[in-house]
Amino acid sequence: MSPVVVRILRTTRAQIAFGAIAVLTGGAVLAPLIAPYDPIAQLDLENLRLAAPSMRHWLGTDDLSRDLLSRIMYGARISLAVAALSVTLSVVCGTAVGLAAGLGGKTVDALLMRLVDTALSVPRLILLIVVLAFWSQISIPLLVVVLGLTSWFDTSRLVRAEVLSLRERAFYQAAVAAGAPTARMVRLHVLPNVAGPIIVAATLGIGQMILVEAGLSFLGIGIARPTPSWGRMIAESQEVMVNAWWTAAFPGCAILVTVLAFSLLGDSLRDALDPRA
Amino acid sequence: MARFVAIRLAQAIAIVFLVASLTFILIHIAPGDPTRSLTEAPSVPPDVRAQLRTNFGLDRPLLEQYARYIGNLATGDLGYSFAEHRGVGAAILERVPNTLLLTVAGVLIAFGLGVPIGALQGWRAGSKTDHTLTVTSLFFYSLPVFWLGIMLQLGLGLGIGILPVSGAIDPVTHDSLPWIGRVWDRLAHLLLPAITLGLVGAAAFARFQRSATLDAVLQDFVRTARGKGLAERVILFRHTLRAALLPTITLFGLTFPILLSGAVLVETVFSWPGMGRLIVDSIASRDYYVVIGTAIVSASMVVLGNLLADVLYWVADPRTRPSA
Repeated sequence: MSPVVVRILRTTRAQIAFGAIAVLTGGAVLAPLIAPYDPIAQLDLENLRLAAPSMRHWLGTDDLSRDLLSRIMYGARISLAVAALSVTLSVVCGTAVGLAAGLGGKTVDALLMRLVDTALSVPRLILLIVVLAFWSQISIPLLVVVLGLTSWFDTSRLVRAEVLSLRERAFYQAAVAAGAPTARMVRLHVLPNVAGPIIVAATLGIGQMILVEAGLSFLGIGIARPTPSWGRMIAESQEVMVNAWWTAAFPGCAILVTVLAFSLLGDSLRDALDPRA
Repeated sequence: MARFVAIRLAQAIAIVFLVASLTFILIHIAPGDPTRSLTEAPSVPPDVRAQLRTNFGLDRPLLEQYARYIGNLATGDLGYSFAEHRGVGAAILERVPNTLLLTVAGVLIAFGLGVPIGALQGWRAGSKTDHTLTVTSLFFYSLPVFWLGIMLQLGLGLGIGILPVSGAIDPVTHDSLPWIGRVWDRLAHLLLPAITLGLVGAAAFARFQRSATLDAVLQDFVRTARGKGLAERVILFRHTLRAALLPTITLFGLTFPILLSGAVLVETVFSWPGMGRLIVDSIASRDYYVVIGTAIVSASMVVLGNLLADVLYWVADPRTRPSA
C-alpha cells in the first residue's frame, strides 16, 4: 500500500469515515437481500399508518404504511449511485476543460473561462431547476448527466490553475524544450501533479452532490416515483411530521451521516495529500 | 478605478446576456411547452390550443422566438407569466426584497458566527478547541439545509411554539398592528429561516476563515510582531486578523450564489414569499419565462455581488487596485 494511503488510514477521522461509507455502501448494494420489507409496498393502511419505531419497524412507517428503514436503504442506492456517477462525469469534464484552457493558448483559455464564469454566476440549484424543471419524467441517466455537466466548473478552474503553475516550473520547460509531445506531457507531468487536488475535490464533491440531489428531490424534481429517494421522503413527511417526527428525522439523518462521512474523508485526504493545508 | 468598474459592468452585462441565451436554449431542449398544462385538459378544444400558441408566439420558429425574447430583454421586458397573468418582471420584482432580506440576514449570521469561529480555530490550530470546532462546522456543512429548517420548525416553532414557522408576516393581524408590532412580526417570521440559512453558511465561512488565518499566522510579519514582544492580543487583532480578512471578502462574493441556492430550499420549507418560492411554484405551472427570468435576475445579483466584492477588496488592499 502506498505511504499516503497508510498515512490517511492511520487517523481516527478517516477510519470512522471509511467505516461509515462501507456500511452505507454495503447496505445500499445489499438492500434487496437484507432490507426487512419491500420499500414501496403499502403494508397495512389500516393498522400500520405512521407506526412509531418499534421492534418490527425499527425506524417506523410512513403515511402509506411503508417501512422507513427499507425505504432509506433503497434510497441510499439512488443517492450514492447518482452522486458517484455524476461526480465521475464532472471530474472527467472538468479535467478535460481545465487541461484545454491551461494548454490550449490564450484564445481557448479566455473562451472557456468566460463560459465557466457565466455558468458559475447562476446559483447551482437554480441552474438545475432551469435544466430539469420541464422534463415530465426524470430518469437516473438524465439526472446523472445533468448533475455531472453542471458541476465541473470548479474542477476545471482547479486543473487550469495547476497547469498554469506547472508550466512555469523548470522541469516542465525542460521537457518542452526537449520536444516532448503534449499528450506525453499531460500523462507524465500534468495529471500526476493535479491528481491529489482532484481526488480531494471529488471526495468532498460526492457529499455535496448528495445534498444537491436530495434538495432537488425535496423540491419534487428528482427521480420519478415510486423509487424511494431521501429528499422526497423528507418532503412527504412535512404534512405528517407534527404527529410522526420519525418520518422527517430519519431520512435527514441518513443524508447527514452520508455527507458527513464523505466530508470527513475529503478532509483527511486533503491533510494527507496537501502538506500546506 | 472607475474605468475598471465600467469594464467589469460591461462584462457583467455580457454574462447576463449569455445566461439568458443559455437558459432559453436549455428550457427549449426539454419536451413540452408552456401551454401544455392548459391544453392537456380534455375540455380545451384544439382550435383554442392553436390560438393560445399563436397568441404567445409559440408557433414561430425557435430562432425567431429567441430573437424576440432577447430583443424584449434588452428593453427590460422579461416576458409574460402564464400562471400569474402579468409581466414576469413585476412578479419577480415583488419577491426580490423578501429574498434579499432573507439572504442578507443569512449572510450576517453566517459572517458573525463563522468568521470568529474560523479565526479562533486558525489561531489555535491543532488544539482541542480547534478539533471540536472543526467537527462542529463539518457537521453543519454536511446538513441538508431544508432538513435543518424542518427540524428547527419542529423544535422551536411547533414544539415550543415561540416562533412562527411560515410566511413573512402574519396575514391576519399584521396590518392592524402598531409600527413596532409590525417590525417585531417581520423579525419573528424572519428569525427561523435566517438562522437556518445562516448556520449552514457559517460552517462554510468558518472552514474558509480557519485556513485563511492559518496562512496569515505563518507570515513573516507575524513572526516579526512576536519577535518585537507584542502582546498576543495585538498580534491577533492588529496583524493576523487584518491579513486574514482579505480572503474573506472574496468569500463574500462566492457565498452569494450558494446562499441564493439555499434560499430556494429555505423559502420552500418556510413558505417564504421570495424568488425561490416563485421559481418552485412556476415549475408546477410550467411557467417558462418566470423560470428564465428568475435565473437571469439571480445571475445579475451574483454578478453584482462579485463586483462589489472586488471593489471592497480594492478598498481593503490598495496593492490589488488596478492601476490607470
